[in-house]
Amino acid sequence: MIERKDVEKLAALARITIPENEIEKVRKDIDAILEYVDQIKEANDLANNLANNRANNLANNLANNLANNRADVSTSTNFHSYAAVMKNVMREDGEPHDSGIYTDVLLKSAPKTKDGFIEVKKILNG
Amino acid sequence: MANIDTKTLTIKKAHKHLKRGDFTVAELCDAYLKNIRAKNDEIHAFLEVFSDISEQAVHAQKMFTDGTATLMTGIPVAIKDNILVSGRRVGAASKILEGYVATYSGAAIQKLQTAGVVFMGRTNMDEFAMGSSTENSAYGPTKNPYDTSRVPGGSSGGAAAAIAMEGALVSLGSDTAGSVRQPAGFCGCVGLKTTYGTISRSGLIALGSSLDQIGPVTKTVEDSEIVFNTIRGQDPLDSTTLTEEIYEKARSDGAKKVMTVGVPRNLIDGEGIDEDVRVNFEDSIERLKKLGYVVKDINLPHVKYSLPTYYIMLPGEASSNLARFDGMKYGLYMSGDRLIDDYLLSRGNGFGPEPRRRILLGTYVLSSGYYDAYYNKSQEARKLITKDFTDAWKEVDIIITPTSPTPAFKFGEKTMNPVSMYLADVFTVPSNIADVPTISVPSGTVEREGKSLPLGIQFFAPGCREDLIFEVSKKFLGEVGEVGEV
Repeated sequence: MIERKDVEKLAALARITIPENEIEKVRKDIDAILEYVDQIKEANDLANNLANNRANNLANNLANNLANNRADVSTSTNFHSYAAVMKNVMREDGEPHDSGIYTDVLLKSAPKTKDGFIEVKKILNG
Repeated sequence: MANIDTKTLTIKKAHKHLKRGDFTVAELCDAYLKNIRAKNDEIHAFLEVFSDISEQAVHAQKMFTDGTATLMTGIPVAIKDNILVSGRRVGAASKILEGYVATYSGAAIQKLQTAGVVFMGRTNMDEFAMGSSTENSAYGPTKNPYDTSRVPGGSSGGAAAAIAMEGALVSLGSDTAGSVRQPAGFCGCVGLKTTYGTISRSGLIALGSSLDQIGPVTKTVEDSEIVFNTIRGQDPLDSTTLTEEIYEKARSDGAKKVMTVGVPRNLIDGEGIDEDVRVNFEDSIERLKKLGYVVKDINLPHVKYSLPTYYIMLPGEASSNLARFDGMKYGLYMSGDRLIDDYLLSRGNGFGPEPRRRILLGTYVLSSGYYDAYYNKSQEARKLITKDFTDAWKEVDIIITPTSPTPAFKFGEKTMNPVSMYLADVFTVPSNIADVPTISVPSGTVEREGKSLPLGIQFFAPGCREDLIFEVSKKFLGEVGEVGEV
């Protein structure tokens, strides 16, 4: 069960103001959603039971592999035929675009600009 | 002026007429504009109708004159408000993007531009694609053209309603948990969610990056396939797009055509499914049997955890993606005493209730004390759900479910309780979690208070086997002949 102070802390972390009169509603909603999603904790138990019942260890291997990244898991258990050939996609350095060609169009979107920069309030005082 | 019957038009028919000169691109667009003018005030499918349609039509017409026209040239297309088209307003139906103009077009849009389509306007949606009814739009909901007291579904509700009211021949939406298929089902259209990585996500305002796919809403499966083939392909700006080599290799695996259809009884026989939906689904199974398919009951034991899995993964991913909206770079800016107050005010006022709820929830499930209990667990569950499907493909070529557990619901029916709204996606979300291509097609209608409401059925295929869902759904709808014919 999450409490009012938890909501206030999350809002501060997420940098969102929640009006005072909405906090309780948000708390209740989040609580209900967390109660609903808690059922996924059964999913693993079910997987383990199935694995035992079928007397194979596929699901256990699966559970052991879960900490690995997606590509590794895919390769080891062959979830998708195409995922077996998945790999990180890297781009070669080089041929940068000309400096400044996107500056104007991007700055045009910004609420406050000054001398070709986005203007924000001072972070440090003194 | 040519008499154009938008009701019976398909992409191929429109193309044939345009090519023969039976009508011009401008006349075709005028026919759809007339429908928009007649219906959009009430339906509110479009947030904006573009003012340069006639210029776009002139450009497309030239392609017919100079012989460079292809199937999609001159086709009127509506775009969901979370897909960037360079130089046009885009806002994910959120106040936090008020006034924002797209600075580039993503790959899917560029491909449509190359093909010479005409962009008619941008369509309404749930804010940041969070919702199943368009009631979360900051600009007011879209109404279902079949019954204006009911929702069109969501989050691509405007895209689906635009097709149902004949405001465009094709719409592009986005599908993270069913946001193309569920509204397509509620509005009597065809909605497609393809294999993750087949269509570039560049230029799509991100919701859940590991789940999002752009997808078309159309009237026919053939149209859906044409749009898919036009916009798909590897894109250097989306490193998760599949290479042609991987895609072709995956396509060549497994069944050559659909023979066996699987019915996941443990999902269908659960609670919360409308009785008429159940009857319609059983009728659809009979229709498939008559077409010559072998129908087989299968068990997908973990798939029932798809929705709770999603509501951990998605808020986590969304809270990260939505961190970029800070009032500094674009969109709504509200000034406070200090910089931190600028953030708090801009985000607090710019985001509506559902994005705020999901950002907070995502911040919670990703926080250090709860990460293992929630986000990691959801990733484990995702693997188990995926494996259910992989196991099923050993027995069947295609899996079917209803698209939604109910027909279109009334406005306000689910807005007070977020979990009840989330349950509207119970049949669509497994497709995104397990990353399999899925199509929703109309399966009949049901009577409610004197109105006839559409229902939908979904076909799921193994990864990259969009060809199988096109094949079986065309036969199901009678777009082509017997089983075995392709």
